[in-house]
Parts: sequence; C-alpha cells; structure tokens
Amino acid sequence: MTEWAHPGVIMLVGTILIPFLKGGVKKSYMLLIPLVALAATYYSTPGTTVWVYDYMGLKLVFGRIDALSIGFSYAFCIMTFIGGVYSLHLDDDRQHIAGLLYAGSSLGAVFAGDLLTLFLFWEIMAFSSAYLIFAGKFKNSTKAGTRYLLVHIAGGLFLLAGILMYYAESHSLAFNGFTPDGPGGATAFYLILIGFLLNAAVPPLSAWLSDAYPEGSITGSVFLATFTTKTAIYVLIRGFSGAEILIVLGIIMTLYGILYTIIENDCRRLLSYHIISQVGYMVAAVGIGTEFAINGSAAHAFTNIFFKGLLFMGAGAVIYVTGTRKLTELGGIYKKMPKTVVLFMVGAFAISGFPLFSGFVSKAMIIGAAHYEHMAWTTMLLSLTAVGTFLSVGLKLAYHLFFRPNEHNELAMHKAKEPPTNMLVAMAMAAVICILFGVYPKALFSMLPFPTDYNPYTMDHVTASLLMLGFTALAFYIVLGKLNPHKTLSIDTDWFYRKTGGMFIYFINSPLLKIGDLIAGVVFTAVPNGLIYFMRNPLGAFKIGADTFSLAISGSDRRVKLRSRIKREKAIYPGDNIKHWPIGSTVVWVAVFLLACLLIYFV
Amino acid sequence: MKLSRKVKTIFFIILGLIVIADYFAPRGYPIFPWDTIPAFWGAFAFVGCLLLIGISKFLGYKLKVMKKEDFYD
Repeated sequence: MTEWAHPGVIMLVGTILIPFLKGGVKKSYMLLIPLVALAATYYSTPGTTVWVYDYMGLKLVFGRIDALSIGFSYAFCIMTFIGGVYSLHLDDDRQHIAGLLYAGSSLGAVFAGDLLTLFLFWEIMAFSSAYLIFAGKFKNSTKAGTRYLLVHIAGGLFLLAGILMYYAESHSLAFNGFTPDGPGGATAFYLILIGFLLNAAVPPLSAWLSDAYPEGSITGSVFLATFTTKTAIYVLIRGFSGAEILIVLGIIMTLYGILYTIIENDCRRLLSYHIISQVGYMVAAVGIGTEFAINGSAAHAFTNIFFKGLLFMGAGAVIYVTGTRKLTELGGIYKKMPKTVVLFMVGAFAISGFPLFSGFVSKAMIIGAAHYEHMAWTTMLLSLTAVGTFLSVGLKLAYHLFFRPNEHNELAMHKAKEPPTNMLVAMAMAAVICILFGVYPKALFSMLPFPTDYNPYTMDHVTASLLMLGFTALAFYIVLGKLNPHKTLSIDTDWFYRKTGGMFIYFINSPLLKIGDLIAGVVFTAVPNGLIYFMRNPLGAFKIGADTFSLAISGSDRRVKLRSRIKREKAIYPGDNIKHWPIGSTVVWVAVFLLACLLIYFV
Repeated sequence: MKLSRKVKTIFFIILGLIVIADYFAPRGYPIFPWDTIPAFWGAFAFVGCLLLIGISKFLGYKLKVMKKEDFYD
C-alpha cells in the first residue's frame, strides 16, 4: 500500500461515526468528509496504480489514478459537499449515511482498475441509492424504489455475466477497452455494454430513472441526479470509447428525453427526462471516440453534475415549501421566492447553453467533435436537442414553475416562501461553479483527461448560439398556449413491467391459482374421501351405485320406489357390514373356486 | 403571457442585431454547406422548436403516451 487515501473509502468509512455525533458537531463532520475526500483527490498522483491486492489469485485494483478518474473524483467530491450543505437542515441519519455511501461507492467505481472491484461498488451504489428513493415518502416512493432496485439488480447481473464470460477466457479481470472480438466474444461485450447502458439510462432501459428519481427524497434526488448516470459515462469512456453504436443510441436518448419533457407535468420527472437527454450527449460523444469527443463527454458530465444538481435543488426547494410537484398546481411564486428563482435560472441558462454559462462550453465541445468528424446528422440532431432543452427548461419549466399567473392553486401560492438558508447556500455554490466554468473554461479543461486549448468563444459560435436561443424564445412565445401542462402522466417503457407485472400477478392469482385449487381438491380431497367412503362397505356402496344407475335408466313408475330405497341405503350406510359376510358365504366362495379349479383341470 | 409593446420591440431589436452580427461573423471551421449561411441556426431553431412541440403532442395525444394520473393505480 502506497501513500494514498482512497476518496471513496474515506466517505464509506466516514459514515460510521455519523450516528454517534450530535448537533453542530455532526453537521460539521458531515461536511468535513467530502472535503477530506477532495483533499485526497488533490494529493493523488496521476499515472499511478495503487491499493492493489491479491485475493484468492485475483488481482484487485482499488486505485487506478489518472487524469480521467481524478477529474470525476473532483466533480463527485464537490457535488457531495454541495449536496451535504443542501441537506443540513435534515435530521435523518439514514439518509445522510445512504447519500455518503452512494457517493463513496461511485468514487470506488471510478477508481476501480479491475472488473470485480467495479462490480462490488456498482452494487453498493444500487442499494444505497435505492434508500434515497424509499426515503422520499411520497405516495409511490416505496413502489418506485422497489422497481428501481429490481431493475438495477437485473442490470448488475447482466454486467456480472459479461464479466464472468470475459474472465473465463482471458483469466484477467483488468478493466480496459472491450471489443466484440476480445475475450468472451461478442456475448461478453454486449452483456457488459448492457449493464453499463442500463445505468446510463439509454432507452429502452431508461424508464427506471424517470420512474424513480421524482419519487426520491428532496435532498436525495440531488445525489441521485449526480452519480449513477455519470459513473456509467465514466465506465463507458473506459470500456467502449469509439463504439459506433453509442452515437446512434446517444442521439436517440437526447431526442427521447426532450420529447417527454415537453408533455410532462411533474417538475422533477421533467428534469429526470432532461438527465436522459443530457446523458445522451455524453453517450454520443463516447461513441465518436476522438480525444476531443472524450474531452467533451467528460466536460459535459462535469458541467451537467452542477447544473442538473442546481435544477434539482431548485425544484426540490419549490416542493419543500409548497408541497406539490405538479406544474398544473404551481406558477406565480416568483414574488415569494426570488432568490430561488434567480439561482434556478442560472442552472436553466447553463443547461440551455447560454454563452458565459457552463453548458455553452461543454455542449459546444460535443457538437464540435461531431462537426470535426463530418457527421452531418449527428450535428443536426444534437443541435435540435439543444433547442428543445432551452424550450423545455429555460422557458417552459421556468415559466410554469415561477412566472405563469397562478389562479388555480391558492394554497401553493400561500405556502411559497424562500427555503432554508442552507438550501440557498448550496444552490449558490452550484450556481457559482456553473458560471465559473462558463466564464473561465480553463478551470473545466484542467479536469479533462486530455489537454486541450479549445476556445468556445469564437464570434460565429456565439452568434449561432444566440440565434438558436433567440428564435427558440420567439417560437415559444408564439405557441405558448399550446404548452400548458395537463393533469396527466406519460407512459414509458416501465409500462411493460408495471402493467404486464400486474397482469402476471393477476394470472397467478386468478386462473392459475384456481386451477391449482381445483386439482388439489380432486387429488387430495375428493378421490381419497371417495375411496374411504367406498371402503367402509364396498358391497353397500356397489348397491347404492347400482340403484343410482337403474334410477337413471328406469321408467317413471319405478322411480319413486328406487328413490326411497337409495335414501334408505344411504341412511344406514356403511351400516353393520360384518353381518353381511358370514362364514357360510366364505365356504360357498371356496367351494366355487374349487369347482372352477376342477373344471379347468379336467377341460 | 402578454408582453408590453416596449418589451417586444426590444426583443426584436436584439434578435435583429444578432442576425446582423452573424452575417459578419467569420466562420472558423466551415465543413457543411449550411455553415456559411447567415442566420441559419435561427431558422433551424424556429422550425426545430415547432417540430419538437408537434412531435411530442402527436406522441402524447395520438399515440396515447399521455394517460390519466391514476393510470397505474
């Protein structure tokens, strides 16, 4: 072991003391943990591989330190700190611990140099993040959290199957680039890819995100918006740089997310679809695979962590004070919470790619990378998504959340006020980073895996961006009436497991279980009971049977007589059967048999 | 949302200034034919915006993606 402290392990181990501390000490301790992890990141030496252990012949690498992992570690540690500030008012140890475990395991996955270590942290991420959804305590939180967990367990199993196939052939767990003709063949390649794509929320494997994130706790969803998808981007950069299928998937993701945001009513579900859309840029950039594109992918991941965190914090603040998430019940509250509005708008400008905000720089890098590679469609469609992003966050969401005249919900209007100071401070910190990256892109570039001297502020690029923003605003103003939110929910691919899951349970409960009951009734009740009944007095039973049969075939004149006889027989059944079998009759039977033997003998 | 005449005028003046600036902006790295068309991205955004709204409304209403809020209950 060398002189290195693992930022992820610092967070994981740091959680142990939280339940034993109280008041101000606890609060400062919780903020200290990410700062210590940040310091540990700062003192990491790029290009080294440390914390390597031999476990039963497997080489486990906990510390692969290079520019890429350090960049992600910085972003994660800073965002954990901001998330910590945002949740300071909250007195719920379990949520604090889950948040730090989630952040710590994400860092563990980022520094993992082998597939087994990666898988280990991957699973801790799934379970700790699921708690943040359960803690939401909304009407559907528990159900959504359970679905989230099941989907992630399934995704983890895809990953594990791929890893095992890869290991079986290569006898190495080293986590480097995968190719379809590498160890384990195309099957291992695609299994691992599916595991990663599920966490990156690529449709049709994306419904878990828009299903679960809106149900998470107000503070928890800030963590949720940060770690899972960005860790997935990190591992995609490591394993699947230049895999061309990712370009197509990335473009589909961006547009898929945007189309949903336009018809969505739940403000955090709307933002969740924006995560899918923005992560699509990063996935597409990983697919392009040039150094500039990978830089763009990482840059967009870092800027996205802060502006999406900021937007989730802003939406969370609105939910915290008003108690509602639906745009149909909100609007007009800008007078009551102006500070929140200003900070939220910084995030909205950043995600929309306004010049001087962070999204402008990182989005330009990804679209630029497609442009340099002469990919006309990619450039066009990613630009179209940029238009849609401004339309749905910068204009539609902001308008309906804060500015639209509110005549429909007096209660939300009445309850609206500025959130607790710690929430505002956390939002302000994220806002400062959004502006810093936009005004001084070198700060962002210093976190990227490859050195770059890119200048996003050329005149043609600035005018092109302003044209897009200006004309989007014009179009928005023209069709404003058509964009009013409605009291609806939008079905996604989770329909398949939510509705068919219900149908499956109905099938089990109703026809299948009834058939089962029927079979059990016949085999275990009717048949043995019948046999027992018959064996009590076989002759009597035969007599009843024969009489019943003759009742069925006889004419009406005999029926009355037969009926009364059957009734009498049934009444005395089984009766005293011994007297029907005297010794005399046995002697007669023996004589009959002897006679039969004699006849056979002579014939 | 009703905007006052003054706000509208200012907005259109700004939009016009951006178009003029774009006309004079030197193109750094033109590859595609449309890279050199002035105000191309303005037209693109305007059409694209309406297109996105149209498609999402089509998905929501015609393809029945939008359901009542108690759909899953």
